[in-house]
This record gives sequence, C-alpha cells and structure tokens, in this order.
Amino acid sequence: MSRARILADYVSSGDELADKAPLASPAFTGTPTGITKTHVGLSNVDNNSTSTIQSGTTAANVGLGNVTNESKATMLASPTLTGTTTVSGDIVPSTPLSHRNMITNGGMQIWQRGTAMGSGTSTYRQDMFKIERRGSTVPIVIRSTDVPAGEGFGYSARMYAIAEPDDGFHFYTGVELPGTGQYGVFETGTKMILSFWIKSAYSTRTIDPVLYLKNGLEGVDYSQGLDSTEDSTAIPTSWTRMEFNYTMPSWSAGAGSLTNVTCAAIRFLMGNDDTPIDIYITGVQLELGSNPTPFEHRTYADDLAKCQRYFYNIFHGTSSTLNFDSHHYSASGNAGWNVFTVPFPVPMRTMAVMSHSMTSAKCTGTSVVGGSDTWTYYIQNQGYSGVHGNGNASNFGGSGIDKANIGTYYVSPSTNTSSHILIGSGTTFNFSAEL
Amino acid sequence: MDHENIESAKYTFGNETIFCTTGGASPLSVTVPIDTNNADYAELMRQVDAGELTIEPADE
Repeated sequence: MSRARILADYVSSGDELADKAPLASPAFTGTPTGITKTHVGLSNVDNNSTSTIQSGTTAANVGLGNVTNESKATMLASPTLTGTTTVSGDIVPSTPLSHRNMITNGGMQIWQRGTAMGSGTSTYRQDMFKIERRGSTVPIVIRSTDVPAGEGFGYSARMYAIAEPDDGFHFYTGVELPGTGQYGVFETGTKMILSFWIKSAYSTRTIDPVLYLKNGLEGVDYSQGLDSTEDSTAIPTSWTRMEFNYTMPSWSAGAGSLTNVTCAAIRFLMGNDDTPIDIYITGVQLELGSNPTPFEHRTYADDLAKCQRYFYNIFHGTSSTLNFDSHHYSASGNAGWNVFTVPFPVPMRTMAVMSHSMTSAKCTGTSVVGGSDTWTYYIQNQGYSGVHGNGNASNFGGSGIDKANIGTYYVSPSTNTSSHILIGSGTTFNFSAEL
Repeated sequence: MDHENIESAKYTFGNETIFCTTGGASPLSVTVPIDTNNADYAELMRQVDAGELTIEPADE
C-alpha cells in the first residue's frame, strides 16, 4: 500500500483529527487543566486578597504614570466620601468647623421673657429676636413645638398678626461687632449665607432679610441696607430651609455715622398692608461662605449663657423664691435706705437697664410664696416680724455690668435692720443690655 | 423696656441713672443707666430730642 493511500485513509477516518485543536483561535470547552502560571508567563504573580507590590515596580509599570504618592494630595472637586474617613493630620477648612453660626438662639431654645406674648409694642419675646410692628398691628409671638421633622429642633417661634385689618410686622436679630465702628467679619468682600427653616400658614407670603450695620437693632446710625442675592422670596406653606447669600459691600452710611455702629442687624422684612401673617421659624443660621451647612445645634446651657449677655431674667428656670443679702437702715424721711446685690451669671454687654414690678403694697411681711408677685424683708433666726418695708419699694433701682447694687430710700419699718430680701418668682425682675 | 408706655422719667441722685415708670398691662419701675451703648438710653434720648419725653431733674 502506498504512503499516499495510507495518509488518505487516516484523514478520511476523522476520529483522531477531531480531538486536535487548531493552532489559530482555538475554542476550548469544559475546564482546561494542567495549565500553570508559568505556562502563561505569569510565574511571579500570586492571586492574593491583598496584593504585594514587588520592589522595582513603578507607577508607570502598572499604568498609573500620572499618580504620585505626595504628602499633600489634591482631591477632585466636590468628592463624596462614604464609610468612615480617618484623617491623621489636621483639617484646614476655609470656614469654621465649630461656632459657625453667628446667630444667638437661632434654634429658638431660650425664652427668658416667657413663652407667649400679645403686645402692641415693638419688643422681644424669644431671646435675641425683636418684633417690629407695622402701623397699629398687634403681633403675637409664642413658642411652638411645630418643628421641621428629623432636624433636631425642640421649638420654633410662631409669629403672627391675623386680626383684620393689620399691616403685618418685621423682625430683627443681630450680631455684636467686635468694637464700636469695627466691622470684623462683616468687612467688604466677605461672603455670608443666611439660612433658616420656615413655613407660612398663608400662601403667597414673602420674606426679605436685609442686612445693616447699626448702633443697636433700631439705632439711629446705620448703613445702607444690603439685599441678598435672592431678595424677596415666597415662603412655602410646609417646612422648608430657605437660603440667602450676601457679599459684604463697601459700606456707606444710610443715616448718621458708621463710626458708631455696634452690631450687624438682620431685618426680616415681611408683610404688606392689610395682609395677615402667620409664620413659624427656627434654625436661623448666619455663616461665612456661600455653602449652607447643617444647623449648628448648641446645648441649652450654651445658648442661655450667650443670651444672658443681653438679657437676664433672675427668675428664669425657677418658680421658687429668690433670696438676696440685704443691707438696711431705718430712719424717718429719705434718710432710711435698703440695698441688696444681684450678681449676674455672665457680664452684660453694657450697663444694664433694670426693670421690676416691686411695690410697697406687695411686701407681705411674712413668708413669700414661690410664683407670687410679692416680696419681703427677713432677719436671720428672727423671721419677718416687724419688717414690713414701708419704704418706697417702687423706687428700687440699680444697674451694672457683672452685678447690680439695688437700692431705695424712705425705708422706715419698725425694726432697723434686715439680713435678707426675699422675692417671689412671679415678680418681674430683669436686666437688659440688648443690641 | 416698653418705650411706648413711659409714664414718668426722672434723673436719680447724682444723675447716675434715669428712673422711669411704665404703664400698660404690667406697670414696671425701670432704671436706665446713663450709657450711650445702652439701646434704651439711646431711645430715651431720641424721644427727648423729638420732644416726646421730658426727664425731670434729680432731687437736690
């Protein structure tokens, strides 16, 4: 048999060649076995869970020629990090990480004057926020537990004037400047953003916070008003965080002289003539920069101490009777006197105005019930006997920065001394050094 | 203080303060220091300048 014949028979049988793979583009089925990393030229590669970079490896070797292991990396713009981020060095932000909020009592926690008001005058209710009524409006301010859900607030301020007709109201808050005529962070060019949570019971109502430098919230020396970028904006009827951007201008006087300004005042312009207003507001925050950060919650104690620089109600937080050292001399006419001292928990901003409701008729001559609008003199170990204080109690007056020495005259009770003066917590007794 | 309800104002001995009484629903005795940084003092002076308030001199 010829060699050609043998080969032809072999090929025609097909059995052996069907098991052979072609050299070009072979396609395997099943799981190939017996192949090692050496067979494919990867003898130095291990399939570990954590890779080990071999010595001599460069960034270019692994396709990362533009990446360097520098001590100061430059992040991509606005990265979003997930998981826990640990920083072994310092974080150096462009705006403060803490004490960002320049507004005191922005969370509406502190109500030293009480939690409800119906007043026809322009005055304060929640600490650091002052109502400015328009026309003959009688605005009402109450503390409310209606707050934006899930934001950590305990209270909001409900401010409303819904009697018809009324002309609505505006309201103020302020930031004390570092010194008279010293603008501090409110210097020209500084960017700031004001944010707050608000809702309106009525639709189509607007709010327009305007920033001034002033000598007092309603002082007679003030700058031109600085409008926000957003200007007057509609208030939603459900809780919404509103934001207003400002760039401090080259300040110029609107009235008087800017050398006298002591605070930055934010005047929240609201309302139109004959238009009822009913808003809830909390979480007021003024911070540097143009990006609003979440509201900076402070502890109640921190907020109270800050507020007490501007207003101090000696009975805030108690329904009991307070007891002060008393110095007493009795004599006829205006030669008799009584003096007692009230210390302040924090120094006040300036010499404080003292207001009280004590009168001679309210002196009990016996023990004083907590919560009552009464008072009395007291003598240690001897009680109240004979010390009725028929002096001129309405004339008790005093002032100070860190304490107030308070006195009156025409004191001529039947005994000539007292060691204490007791005042019931229903008495109005406070000190004010507001902006 | 309630600036809209001032019933009387008088300098105290030595002109150290101004003693006021305010009316309205809750009458109060108010001592205002002579301090230009105090907003209430500034308001009293504004009312005096505007002819809206007269402050009595202190007793001799």
